[in-house]
Amino acid sequence: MRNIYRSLAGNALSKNKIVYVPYIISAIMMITISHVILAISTDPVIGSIEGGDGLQMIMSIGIFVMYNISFFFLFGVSRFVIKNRKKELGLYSVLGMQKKHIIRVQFLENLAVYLISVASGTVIGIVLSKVIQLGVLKIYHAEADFGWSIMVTPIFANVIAFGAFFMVFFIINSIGILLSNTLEYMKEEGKGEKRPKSNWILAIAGVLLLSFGYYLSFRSQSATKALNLFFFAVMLVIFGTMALFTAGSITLLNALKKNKKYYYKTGHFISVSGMLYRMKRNALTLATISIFATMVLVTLSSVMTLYNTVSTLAKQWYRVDFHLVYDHEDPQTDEERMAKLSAGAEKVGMEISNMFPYTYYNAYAYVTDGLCMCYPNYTSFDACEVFYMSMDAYNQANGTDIELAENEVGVYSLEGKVLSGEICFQYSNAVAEPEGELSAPYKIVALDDAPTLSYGASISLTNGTYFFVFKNYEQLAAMRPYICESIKEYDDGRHFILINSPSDRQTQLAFYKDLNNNQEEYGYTFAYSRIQDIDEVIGIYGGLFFLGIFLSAAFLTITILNMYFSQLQQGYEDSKRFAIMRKVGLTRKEIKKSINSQIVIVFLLPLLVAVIHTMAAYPMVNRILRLFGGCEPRAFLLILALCIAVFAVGYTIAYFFTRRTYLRLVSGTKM
Amino acid sequence: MSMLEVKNLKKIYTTRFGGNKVVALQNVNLTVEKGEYVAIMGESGSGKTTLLNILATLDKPTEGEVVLDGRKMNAIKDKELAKFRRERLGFVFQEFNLLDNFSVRDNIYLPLVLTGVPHQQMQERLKPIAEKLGISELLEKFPYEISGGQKQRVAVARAIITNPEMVLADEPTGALDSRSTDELLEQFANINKDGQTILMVTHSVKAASTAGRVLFIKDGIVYHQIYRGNETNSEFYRRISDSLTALMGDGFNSVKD
Repeated sequence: MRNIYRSLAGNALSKNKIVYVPYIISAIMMITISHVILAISTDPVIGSIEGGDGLQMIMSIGIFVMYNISFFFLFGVSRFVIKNRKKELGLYSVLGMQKKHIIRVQFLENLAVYLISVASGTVIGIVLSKVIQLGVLKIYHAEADFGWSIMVTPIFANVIAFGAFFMVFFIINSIGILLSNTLEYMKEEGKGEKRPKSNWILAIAGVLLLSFGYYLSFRSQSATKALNLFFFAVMLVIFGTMALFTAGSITLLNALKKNKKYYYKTGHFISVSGMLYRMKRNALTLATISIFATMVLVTLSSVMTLYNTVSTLAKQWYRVDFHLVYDHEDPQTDEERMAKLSAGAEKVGMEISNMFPYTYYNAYAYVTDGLCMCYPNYTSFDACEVFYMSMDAYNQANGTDIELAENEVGVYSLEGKVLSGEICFQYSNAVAEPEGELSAPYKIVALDDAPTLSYGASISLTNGTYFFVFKNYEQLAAMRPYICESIKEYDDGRHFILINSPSDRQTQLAFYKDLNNNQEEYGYTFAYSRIQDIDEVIGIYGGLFFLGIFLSAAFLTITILNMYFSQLQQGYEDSKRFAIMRKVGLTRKEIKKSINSQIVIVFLLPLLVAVIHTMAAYPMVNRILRLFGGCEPRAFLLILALCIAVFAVGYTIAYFFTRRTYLRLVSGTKM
Repeated sequence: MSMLEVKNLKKIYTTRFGGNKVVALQNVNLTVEKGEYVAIMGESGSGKTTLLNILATLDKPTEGEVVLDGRKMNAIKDKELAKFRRERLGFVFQEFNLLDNFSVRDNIYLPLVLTGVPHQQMQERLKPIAEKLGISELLEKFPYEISGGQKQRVAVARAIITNPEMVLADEPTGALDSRSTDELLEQFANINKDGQTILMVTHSVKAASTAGRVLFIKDGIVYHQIYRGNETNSEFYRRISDSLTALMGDGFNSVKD
C-alpha cells in the first residue's frame, strides 16, 4: 500500500512536469540565494576582515527579506500547482481514494519537492557562497583561503525554514482538499468570466496619481526635499501603476472595442478581446511585476552608483595617509607631536614622505548668494557643512601656491555649486535668528581643487559641503566671531598633524595599530588612517552593493517565474479557445501571430513601464544619492543603462522560454 | 452536378511507432446534391466522426477524394484550407464551441471578420438570420449567460452567416434537452427549406428523422441509405429505427432470433 502512494506521488511529479519543474527550480533558487546570504552573514573568514562586519550586518537584514519573499512566492506557486491538478485529484477520489489517502499522496509530493530543492539549493549555495567569499575577500584585499570549510548554520537554517514553509503549504492545501467535494473537482473550471467593465474614474485617477508622482520627481529641488517626498512619490507611482494597469488598460480596450470600424478587423478582433480578458486576469500581476522591476532597477543602479562614487570619492578625499586630531588642551607643541610620530613610524618600519601641522574650523551654515549664516550644531537637512581654513594650510597640504588678498576668500564646493560676487559671514545661534554682526564682504575666488582635510568621506546628511579659505591663519582667527562664536572646544581651531607615507598597506596598518595602542603616549584625540577608512567605507557600501545585487537577482527570478506561471495558466485556458478558432477557420499562422502579439504585449508592458518609471525616478534618486556622498550624474546614467540592459536580456530569455511553453500548451490540443 | 462527391475514401490510422493499423474508413462513396439534408448515422467507432473530419478538412484521407462543388479538396494547399473552411463550410458542434470571451454577436461575426467583411455588411447579414433563429434579443449577451439550446442556435447562426456551400453538423443535439432538440431540428429543417445543404452526423434517430436522406455507416463502410420520400417525420423515424435494427443488429442477431 505504501508503495502505491509513493508511485502515485512520483507519477504526479513527472506527469505535471510543466508546473513542477519551474516550481522546484524556483524553490532551489530561493534556497540558494538564502544560503548565500546566510553564509556571508555568518562566515567567520569574512567577519574577520576589516569592514566585513558591516557587510555581515546588512546581509543579516537581507535574510529576513529573502525569507519573506520566498514564503509568499512559493506559496502562490504551490496554490497554482494544486489548482491545475484538481481534475486529477477528483479522479482519484472518484476511483475510491479517500481524502486522507489523497492528502497522503500530497504529503509525499511535497516531501519530494522539499527534499529535491533543499538538497540542490544547498549544494549550489555552498559552491556559490565559496565563489562569493573569494570575491568579497578580493574586494577587501584580504588573503583568500581556498579551503572548503562548509558552514553548518546556513544549511541548518534553510532546512528548518523551508521545511516549515513547505509544511505550511501542505497543511493549507490539505485543508483545501478536506473542505472541497469530489464533484467540484471534476467540474470544468471556468464557468465563464464576467465581462471586463470600463472604469473611467479609476483610470483617470491612475493617470493623475502617476503624473503627480512623476511631477514630484522632476520638480524636486533640494536633496532633502527629495528625500522627504521620495516615499510619497513612490506610493503615488505604485497606486497609479496599479490603477492604470487594471482600470486603464480595460477602459482603453473597451473604447477600442466600441470603435466598430477598428474592432471588426481580422487583426484587431481577436487581439482586442483576447487582451481584454488577459488584462483582466493579469493586470495586477503585471502591475506588480512593473513595480518590482522598477525597484530592482532603481536599487541596483543606486547601489552600484554609490559604491562607485564612494570608493572613488573616498580615495579623492583622503589626500593624506594619516591624520591625527589634537585637543586644544593638549600641551604639546606641533614639533613635539611630530617628533613622537616620526619615532613611532620608525619603530614599525614605516617611511614618512612628509608631515605637517594643519588647522581649520568646521560648522554648519545656510549658504546663499552673498551670505553664509553659520550656527554651531547640525539642526536640519537644509544646512550645509562648511569648513574654514587658511591659505597657508591649504597650500601646504595640496602642494599649491595660491595667494589671496585680505578681502578675498577662496571657495570650493564639493557638489560643484558656483558662488560668485561677494559674500558676508554672520553667526547665528538659532536657525532663523541671526544674532551676530555681519562681517565685511569678501570677494569670492573660486578654487579648482578641494582642500586636503583630516576629514573622512563620511555619509553627510547635509545639503552640500563648502570650503572657505582665508589669506592666512591670523585672518582666520579674526573671522572667528563671525563663524563659530560658541564652539569653545574649537577656540583655537582644530589642530591636526598630517602624514604621508610611501609604505605598503601592511606597514601602514601596523603604524595605525601602534597609534591606537599608544594613544596617551602620542597625546592625540582621534587618529585616522586612509587605508583603514577606505576599507571600512568599502565594507559598508560593498555590503549594500552585494545585497543590492542579490536582492535584484532574487527579484528578477521572482518576476520571471511569476510571468511564467501566469502565462502557463493562461495557456491552459487559451488552448481551448484557439482550438475552437481553428475549427471555425483560423489558420495556424494567424493563431500564432495573434498569440505572439499578445504575449509580447504582456511581456513588454511591464518592462517598458519599469524603464519609464526608472527614468522618471532618476532626477529624484539622483538628488538623494548626493546626500550619501554625492554621485556623478553621467556615471549614474551609464550604470542605469547597464542595469536596464542586463534586466532586459534576462527578461527576453524568459520571454522565449515562456512563449515556447505557452505555444506547446496551446497547440497541444488538437488544432 | 452534385454539391459533394466522396469517392473511394479510405482512412487508416497508424499508431505512433508504426505498429498497429486501424482502419477507420474502408471504402466510402457518397454524393450529396445541392439543397439536400443528409444525416449520417452510426455507432461510436463506426467512422462517422472520421468522415466528418475529412469533409471538414480537419483531417486528410489516406486514399480517395472529396469534391466539393467541383473543387477537389485534396488539391487545396494547407495554407488555403483554413480560408476554404471558413468561406465554404459552416460548422455546428455538439459542444457548441462558442468563445466565452466574445459576445453572442461577436461569436457570430467571427468567420466574417476573419474573411474581412466590412462591418456594415455584417450587420445586414446578421439581422435576418438572428430573426429566423430567434436570437435577436441575445446578441449582446455572453455565451455563459444563455442556455444550451440558445448556444446551439448561435452556433448555427455562425455556421450559416457566411452562406456556406454546406453546413456540417456533428451531433448537434448531443448536449441538448429534448425541448431544445426539437427546436433546433425544426430550425435545421427551416434552413434546409431555404436551400441550405446540410450534412449531419448523429446517432439520434430523432435527429436523423428530420433529414431528407439517411446514410448508415458501420465499420468504415456505408452500408445502406434510405430516402424520406413523402413520409412525415414520425413515419420516417419508424423506418430509420427498423433499418437500424436490421443493420446494426447483426451483432445481436442471435438475441433477436
